[in-house]
Amino acid sequence: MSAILKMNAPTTTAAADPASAYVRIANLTKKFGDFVALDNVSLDIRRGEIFCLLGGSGSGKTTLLRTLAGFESPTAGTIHIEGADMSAIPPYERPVNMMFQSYALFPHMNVEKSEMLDIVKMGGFGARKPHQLSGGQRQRVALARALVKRPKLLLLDEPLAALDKKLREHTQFELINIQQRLGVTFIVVTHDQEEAMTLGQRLGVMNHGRIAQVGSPCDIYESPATRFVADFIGSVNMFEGRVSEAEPDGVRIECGELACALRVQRAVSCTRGATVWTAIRPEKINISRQPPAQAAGADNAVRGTVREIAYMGDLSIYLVQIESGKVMRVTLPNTTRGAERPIARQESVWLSWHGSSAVVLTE
Amino acid sequence: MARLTQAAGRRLVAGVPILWLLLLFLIPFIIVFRISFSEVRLAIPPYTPLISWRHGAPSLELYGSAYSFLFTDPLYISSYLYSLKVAAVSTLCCLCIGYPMAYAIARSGAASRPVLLMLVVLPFWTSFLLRVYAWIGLLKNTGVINNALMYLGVIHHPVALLQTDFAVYIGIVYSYLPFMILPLYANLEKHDMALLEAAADLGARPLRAFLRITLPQSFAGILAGSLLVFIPAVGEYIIPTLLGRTDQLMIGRVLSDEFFENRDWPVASAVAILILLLLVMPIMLFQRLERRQLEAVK
Amino acid sequence: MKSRGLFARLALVLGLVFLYVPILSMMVFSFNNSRLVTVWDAAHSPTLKWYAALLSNGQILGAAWLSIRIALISASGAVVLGTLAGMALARFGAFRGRLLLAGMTAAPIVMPEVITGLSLLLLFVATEQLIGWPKGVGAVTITLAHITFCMAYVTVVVQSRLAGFDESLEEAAMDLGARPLQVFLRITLPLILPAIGSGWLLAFTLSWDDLVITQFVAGPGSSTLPMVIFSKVRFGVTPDVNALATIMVLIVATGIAIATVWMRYQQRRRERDLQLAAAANLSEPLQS
Ligand SMILES: Nc1ncnc2c1ncn2[C@@H]1O[C@H](COP(=O)(O)OP(=O)(O)OP(=O)(O)O)[C@@H](O)[C@H]1O
Ligand SMILES: [Mg+2]
Repeated sequence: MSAILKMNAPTTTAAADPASAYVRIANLTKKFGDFVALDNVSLDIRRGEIFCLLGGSGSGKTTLLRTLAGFESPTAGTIHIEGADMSAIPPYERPVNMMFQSYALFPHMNVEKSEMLDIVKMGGFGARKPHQLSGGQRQRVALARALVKRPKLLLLDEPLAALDKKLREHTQFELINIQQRLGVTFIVVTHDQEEAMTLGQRLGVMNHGRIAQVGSPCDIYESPATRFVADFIGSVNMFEGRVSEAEPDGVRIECGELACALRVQRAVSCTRGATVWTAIRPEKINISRQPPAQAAGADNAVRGTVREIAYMGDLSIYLVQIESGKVMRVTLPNTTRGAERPIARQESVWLSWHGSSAVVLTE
Repeated sequence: MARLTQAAGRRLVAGVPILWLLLLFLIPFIIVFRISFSEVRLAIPPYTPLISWRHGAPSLELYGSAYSFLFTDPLYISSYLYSLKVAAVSTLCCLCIGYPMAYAIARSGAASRPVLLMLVVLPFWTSFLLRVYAWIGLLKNTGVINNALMYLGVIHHPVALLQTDFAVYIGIVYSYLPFMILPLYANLEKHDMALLEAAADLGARPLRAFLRITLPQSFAGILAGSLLVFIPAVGEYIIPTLLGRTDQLMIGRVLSDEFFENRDWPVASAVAILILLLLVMPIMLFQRLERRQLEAVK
Repeated sequence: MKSRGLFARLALVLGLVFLYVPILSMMVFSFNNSRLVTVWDAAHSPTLKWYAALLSNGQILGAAWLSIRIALISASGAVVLGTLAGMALARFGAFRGRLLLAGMTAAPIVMPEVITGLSLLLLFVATEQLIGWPKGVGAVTITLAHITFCMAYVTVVVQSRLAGFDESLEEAAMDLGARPLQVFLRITLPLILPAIGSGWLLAFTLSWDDLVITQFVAGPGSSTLPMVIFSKVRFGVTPDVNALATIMVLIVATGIAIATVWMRYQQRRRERDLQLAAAANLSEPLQS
C-alpha cells in the first residue's frame, strides 16, 4: 500500500491530550424520529490531519458530516471546534466547509475566477458553467469552491466516488498534496477501504451509527478491535472457539470449526472458558504440500483440500476446505514467474500460520 | 440567535400560505357544512343561525331537513345518478380516444413528439367557455354538421344533436381530452421498448404483446387520466348548461339553481356535501397516485 | 406491430382533427357576413364587420379589461403564495402543518368548481355579517377567490421543479457563508424562476378563463369577460363571439410560437455545451 504516507503519520495513541483535539465530538446522538442515525459518537480530530470515516451504507457517515457542518442539529451531545461550542452556530458562520457528494455546483452560475482554481489545476475554466465541465473537472471545481473561504476544516463526502478508477487513484494523491500545501484539516468519508488507507492518517470505522474503532490504517488492519472491523477491512478467516489456557503472553483456544487448537502468542485479556473469535488474515497463512514443522495434530496447522484457485495477477487466492468442512481463504503472492509445479485444484495441502498472526476478538 | 431567525423565517414561509388557505379554503368548507344543517328562512342571510338564544340560554339548532329533502325528492336522486352516468361514459370515451393518441405520440420520433404534445395541449390554453361554445355552432339544427349532412343527402331533416346526452359527452370529451392524454403519454413514454422486443422475440403477436405487456404497465396512467376526467365531469356546470338537456339536469347545475334561483342555501350546501361524499374516494385515490409520482421524481 | 402503429397513428390524426375543427370553424365563421352564424353567406364574405362590432362593444371591452386586471393581480398573488407553499413542501422536511398544507394545496385542483364557488361566497357573506367586510361581492372577492384556486396550481409547479433539484445546492451556498435570505435570492429563486414563470402564465390563464367560481363571488357591477360571453351564448350564438374567439386563439398561438422558438434556441445551446464538455473530457489532464 502506501508506506511512505504512513511514515509521517503521528505515532501517538488515540487518547491524545484534550488541548490538541482540534475538533472534539462528544456523546453525539442524532435521531430521525425513532431511528438512531448517530449513537453516542465521541471522536477527536487533530489539527492538520486527514481523518477518514469508513463504514457501510447507512452507517451514519454523511449524517456525522452534516452535523459537523451544521445542517443537522444533534439530538444530544456537543461539537467543539478549536474549543468553541458549535451548538448555536448556523452553517453559514462555522469555520467549516463541505465538499458535497453530488458536488452541488450551482447550475446557473459561472465557475468564476479564484486562486483555488489554480491549486486544483483548473485555472483556465473560470467562465464555464457546470454543465460545460466533465466529471473530473466538476470534482476539481467543487473542491476549489470548498477551499475558497480557506476553511480550517474541510469535510469531504465521498469526494472521489463519481470518478472512474484511474482518475480516482490519481486524484487521491492530489488531494493529499493539496491538504499538505494548505494545511487544512480534512475529514473524508469513503466507502472504499483502499482509498481510506491511502488517504487517511487515521481512520474511523462506523457501524450502525457508532464508531467501532479509531486508529492508524495499520492498527485497524493488524489489530481490529471487533469482529465487525476485522471483517469490514480486508478479508479474514474467522473461527469461534473457547479459551482453554490463558497465560500472560498468549492463549490456547479449542475450536470446533478447526481441526486443530489455536495458540495465539499475543497478550489477550480474557479468562479461561470464555467464548472468543480468532481472526487470521489470508495472506498470513502458509500453504504447502509437506506438513509444516509443527507436524500433524500440533497447534496452528490443519490439512485441507484445494477447492478453488483464483489467479489475480499479483497474487492468487486459494479456497481450501479443511477437515471440519469449513472453507478457508489463503492468498499467496506470485513472486516468481511460472513457478515450478504450482499447487493445483483438488490437491491435498497443509495450512499453517504463526502464533503471532492471529487476532483474538472478544466482541 | 441566528438559529432562531432561521426558524422564524421558515415559520413565515410555511405559515403565510397555510393561513391563507385556512381562511379561504378550509373555513369556507366548514361554513358550507354548517349551513347544510340549517333551515331556509326569509331573512338575511336566508338560513337559521347555528346557535339561538331561548329564554336567555344558548341552544344548538341543527336540522336534517335539507338532507331529508334531497332523499325524498326524486329530482335530486336522478340528477345525482345522471351526473355519475355522464361522467362515467365521458371518461370511457376519453380513454378510448386518448389512449391510442397518447400511444401514437409516445411511439413517434423524438423530434415530432414535442410538437404533437403541444398540439394536444394548445386548445387548453384557449378559453374553455369558447371551446364549448364552438360546439353549439356545430351541433345545432342549423349548425355545420346538420347542414353538411343535408347537403350530402344523408339526411333530409335536421337531426336534433344539441341538448342531448350526446352533445354533453362530446363537450366533456372535447374539453378534457388533454387531461387524459398527458398522464397516459407520461406513462407510455417511460415504457421499455426492449420488453416488447423481448415479447416479439418469444413469438408474441403484436396484439397479444400489447394486451399482456403495454396495457397492464400503463395502468397507473389510465387511472390518473380517468380520475382527472371523471372528477371534474361529475360537477361540470358549463357544458351541460350550454349543450345539455333541459329536462334532466346534472348535479352541479342543480346546486347552482338551488342557490341562485330558489335561494335555498341549506339545500345547495347539502348538495355540495353530497357531491363531495361521492368524490371522496376518487379524490383520495388521485392524491395517492400524485404523491407516489412526486416521490418517484425525487 | 405495423398495423397497430397504423391504427394508433390514424387515431392521432382523427383526434387532432376533432380537437381543432371546432376552433377552426369558429375562426372561419367570424368572417361570415350572415347573422345566422353557421350559414356561409358567400356573396358578402369574408368580412371584418364582426371585428368592428366587437371593438365598439363597450360591454365586452369593459369586461375584458376587468378580466385582465383581475387575472394580473390574481396570477401575481397566486405566484407569491404558491411559491412559498411549494418551497415549504419541497424543502422543509416534516414540519408541523405539512399534512394540512399539502392537503389544502392539492384539494382545490380536484374540487368541483361549483363547490369552491359556493363555499367562498358563503365565507364572504359570513365575514360581512361578522366584521362588516367585504361590503358586497365584486372585483375584490373575485380576485381573492382566483388567488386561492390558482395558487394550488403554482404550488404543484414550483414543488415539482424544486424536487428535481438537490437540496444540497442550497446547503452548499449556506456552507459558503450565505444567509438564508441570500440563499433564496441567489440560488433558489434563479433555479425556480422558470417554474414561477410558467406558474404565473398558468394562473393568469385560469383566472382569465374562470366562469363558475367567478359567478358565485361576482356582484352586479363586476361582470368578467367569461360571464359576459356566457350570458350572450346561453341564449344563442352571436357572431361577434366568434370574432372574439379568433382573436384569443391568435394571441395564444403567437405566444406559444414565441415560447417554442425560444425553447428550441435554449436546447440547441445546451447541446453545444454538452459537446464542449465531452471534448473537455477527452483532454482531461491526467498528468500533473
Ligand atoms: N433526513 C433524514 N430523515 C430520516 N432518516 C435519515 C435522514 N438522513 C439520513 N437518514 C438515515 O440515517 C441513516 C444514516 O444515513 P447516512 O446518510 O448518514 O449514511 P451513510 O453512512 O452516509 O451511507 P452512504 O454510504 O450510503 O452514503 C440511514 O439509514 C438513513 O436512512
Ligand atoms: Mg453518505
